[in-house]
Amino acid sequence: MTKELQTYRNADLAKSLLRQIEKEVSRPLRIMEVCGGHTMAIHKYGINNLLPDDIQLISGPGCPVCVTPVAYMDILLQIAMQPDVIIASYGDLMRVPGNLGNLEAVRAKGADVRLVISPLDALKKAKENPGKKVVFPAIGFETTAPGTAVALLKAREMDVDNFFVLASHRTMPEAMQKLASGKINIDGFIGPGHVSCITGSDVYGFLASKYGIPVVISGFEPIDLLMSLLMILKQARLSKAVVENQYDRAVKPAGNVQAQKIMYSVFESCDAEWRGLGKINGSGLEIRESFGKWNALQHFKTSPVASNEDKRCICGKILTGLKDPGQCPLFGAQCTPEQPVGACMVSHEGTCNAWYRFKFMSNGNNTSTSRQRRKINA
Amino acid sequence: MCLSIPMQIKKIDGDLAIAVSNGLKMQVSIALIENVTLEDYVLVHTGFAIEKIDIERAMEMIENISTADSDTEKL
Ligand code: SF4
Repeated sequence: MTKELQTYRNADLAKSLLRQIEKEVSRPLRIMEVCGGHTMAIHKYGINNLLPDDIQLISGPGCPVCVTPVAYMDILLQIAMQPDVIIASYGDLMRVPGNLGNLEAVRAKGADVRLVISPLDALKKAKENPGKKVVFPAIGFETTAPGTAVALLKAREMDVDNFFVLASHRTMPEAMQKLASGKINIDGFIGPGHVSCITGSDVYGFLASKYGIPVVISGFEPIDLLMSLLMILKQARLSKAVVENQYDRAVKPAGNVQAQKIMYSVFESCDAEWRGLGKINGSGLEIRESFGKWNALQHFKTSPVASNEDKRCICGKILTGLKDPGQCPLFGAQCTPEQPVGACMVSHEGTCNAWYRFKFMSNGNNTSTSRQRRKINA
Repeated sequence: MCLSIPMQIKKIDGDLAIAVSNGLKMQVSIALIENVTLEDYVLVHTGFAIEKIDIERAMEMIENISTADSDTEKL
């Protein structure tokens, strides 16, 4: 990190912002951070423990792994067990449960599952293994989808015919609209920083104008998050609702137009299922017909699988801000990061996982749903 | 998966570049961004530079906090 960006972790600035936040709170407020990266940063830096009692931070559905539907995992696991297939996957997907187990379990049974950090690595594996079919499970939001699109464009350019993408990309503004129009009473959104690098900040205008909810696009350092909270509190006190951009060192009003063009040259919008939120119109990205040759859904035969999900898992309610992990009977006992029952416990960006690592592990119990308050010395 | 790290571009070869951060050096694709030049700071996500970082703007934002501590009316 550069010297300049290190300032965004400065303790004195954090204290100054916390003092301003204390003064600014005008009433109890529920503020949702939609992005899993923000959830992780909030718990990592203990920001939730430093805020006045009247501010309640709620995690949203912005962890790509957590919203990936069980049916998608079942298709992926069936493909993984077919002959001559290599699954080239992000590490985050390894323990995501489907009805047929998870990628780690099928690997133990002999499936060839390899980790990659980029879709271009997956494409490289296809070129290195001409006798195999390399399948890249493409999950993630607008941040990740343009990269998948680049890999598909390269596959076409280089005529690689043993590379396949199993796409389950999702788009964030539609999910935020579903939340805003629901029953959860959100007083402000901390908007997703890296998704917004691609989409821009303008796309969230409807949340402010139609639903009257303040939105502040935020960076991921502690100073970024405290500044964004302060900006939301000011809007709330003045009964304003506008979109503000705290992360304008990277997010432009119209976003990354080049990345958008590349993404939509390969994908088109479709209705899509979200774990926990159900079907959301126009919230998915499906591979265009012109790239059908590389679409794993068209190439591999799979069949639906009967559900054996644990009904006690409340991931759906956690992803929509209606409950927190402390209210799940399985949290920290039957469900841990080593043996996750639900998707929210899998990725580091999942709310249950963040609670487990930063709350449960440090408190040694799972009963503490109230915050440990540490007042800042003025 | 939503994580992106700030890295600095040190070498450019077509739509690929070498980027560094805290001793980490990696090849990244710059296919998604326009007009990237050597020494630029970029955010890297799953092997792709997804946007340039405006360091001057980052510092202006910090200046705003320092001056706003006693001025909570400002919006
Ligand atoms: S603790 Fe586990 S079982 Fe409970 S909601 Fe979270 S992921 Fe689901």
